[in-house]
Amino acid sequence: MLTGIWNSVAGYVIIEIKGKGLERFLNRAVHSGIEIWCVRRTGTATVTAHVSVAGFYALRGLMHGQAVRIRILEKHGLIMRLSKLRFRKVLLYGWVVVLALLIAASRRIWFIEIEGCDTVQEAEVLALLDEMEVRVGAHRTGVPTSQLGNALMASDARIAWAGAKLYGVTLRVSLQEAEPIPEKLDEDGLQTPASVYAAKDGVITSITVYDGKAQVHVGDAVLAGEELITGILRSDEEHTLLTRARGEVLATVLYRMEATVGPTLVKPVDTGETHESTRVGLLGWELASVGFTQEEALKNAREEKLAAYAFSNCFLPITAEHVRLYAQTDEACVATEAELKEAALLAAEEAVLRSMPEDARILSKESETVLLENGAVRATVCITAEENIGEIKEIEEPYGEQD
Amino acid sequence: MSKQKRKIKLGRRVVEALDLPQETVSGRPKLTLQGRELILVENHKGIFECGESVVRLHTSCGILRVAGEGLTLLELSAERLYVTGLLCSVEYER
Repeated sequence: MLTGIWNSVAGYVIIEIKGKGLERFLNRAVHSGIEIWCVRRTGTATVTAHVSVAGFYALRGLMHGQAVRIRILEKHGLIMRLSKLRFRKVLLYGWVVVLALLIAASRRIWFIEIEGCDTVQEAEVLALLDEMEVRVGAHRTGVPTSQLGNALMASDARIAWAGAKLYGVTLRVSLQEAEPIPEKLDEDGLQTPASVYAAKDGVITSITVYDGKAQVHVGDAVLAGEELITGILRSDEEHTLLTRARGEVLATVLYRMEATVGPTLVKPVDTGETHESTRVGLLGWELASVGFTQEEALKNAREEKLAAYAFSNCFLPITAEHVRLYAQTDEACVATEAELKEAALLAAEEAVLRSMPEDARILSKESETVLLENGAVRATVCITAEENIGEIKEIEEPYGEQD
Repeated sequence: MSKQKRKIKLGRRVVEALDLPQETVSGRPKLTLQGRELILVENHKGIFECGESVVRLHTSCGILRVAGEGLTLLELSAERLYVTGLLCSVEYER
């Protein structure tokens, strides 16, 4: 197989050997070390054979004194194909020019790939590289890849590590961005010593200290005002070491609110005034309305649909409806027990939610209602939520353990 | 006993002692037949006749005759020779 591949590259010819004593000639050729293959008798005094280009010239040397003639029938192989192109000088020059351009182009950087960018923008890195004269079209040999990483790290504090490597005409720059340093300064931009105190009563579920020393553990029940993370790292006769304590202290906090509603309930009641109107809509939007009044009483009116038409087969789906509006007004009226319970629960729940921070995570909710003697309903809602109860307060002198 | 015969005898003894293939020293032809399409002849002494239906080869054991249809010498070298085609018979001529 390898011989076949080699012959198709190096080239071979199919020859016709004609004459007397063909076997003797073949034996001589074989003993001379000439490669001959696919020898086939085609006539009484002719054989065809495949022979390499070098072998063909060697065969011609053996012809002296032999009554044989050799004729080339076919030429095969890459060399033979290329030799046909030797008279097409423009084509050859073109190839030479292309080859020269390829070699010249392969000595420059054509692509710059940047990976690991998150906060640092690619354009910023490209600008930094440009300052170091590393840009598309720059000479590969002029790019100090070993120093490029250090230079990038030195030029931007957000880059923790940088490395550069050349892959052919591609410069691949890998970045590792630095973790953002948590803001340590307080609102005034000062580094005043402070501790974290509990803003609410609760049971600690998790505590993460960024600065300072934890004073409580997970599972501890704490009261509002209790110190959770202290900013006093050391306080003795020799030294006082203070810091601005920071951290996240998650705790389960119980919220309990009550609301009483009744015995009457303010509800919208029909005034008796009615008005009829027709409106036309397209794709859910109201295009036009006929007969609607702008009176305040009818703005929040109860609506009764008298007839509706939908032209869905049209190119544009148009709807038309005829409605009757009942004007309403808010009046205190006697409500059923179920309505009172619903209103009381809603009021209590809204009150709880108002007192909870937005980032609190509700863990459980319990509610109960009690019918009072005067016909009113009192609802109680208890919500257990998990939230950050830490509150930073400055440390006041004298420093030390507080009793 | 002539020198050459002595050499051959010594060679045979060495081959037997070392358990080597006989054809490596004796120069006897070795034939390998692969189906009906290919025959490999090693240690031949040259081509005696090359035809489409008959190929005759010189060997140390005499003339080897390979008969068949559409015979072709696929590979030709001083040591070995491949003959392809539809083989009918392989025999030594008397």
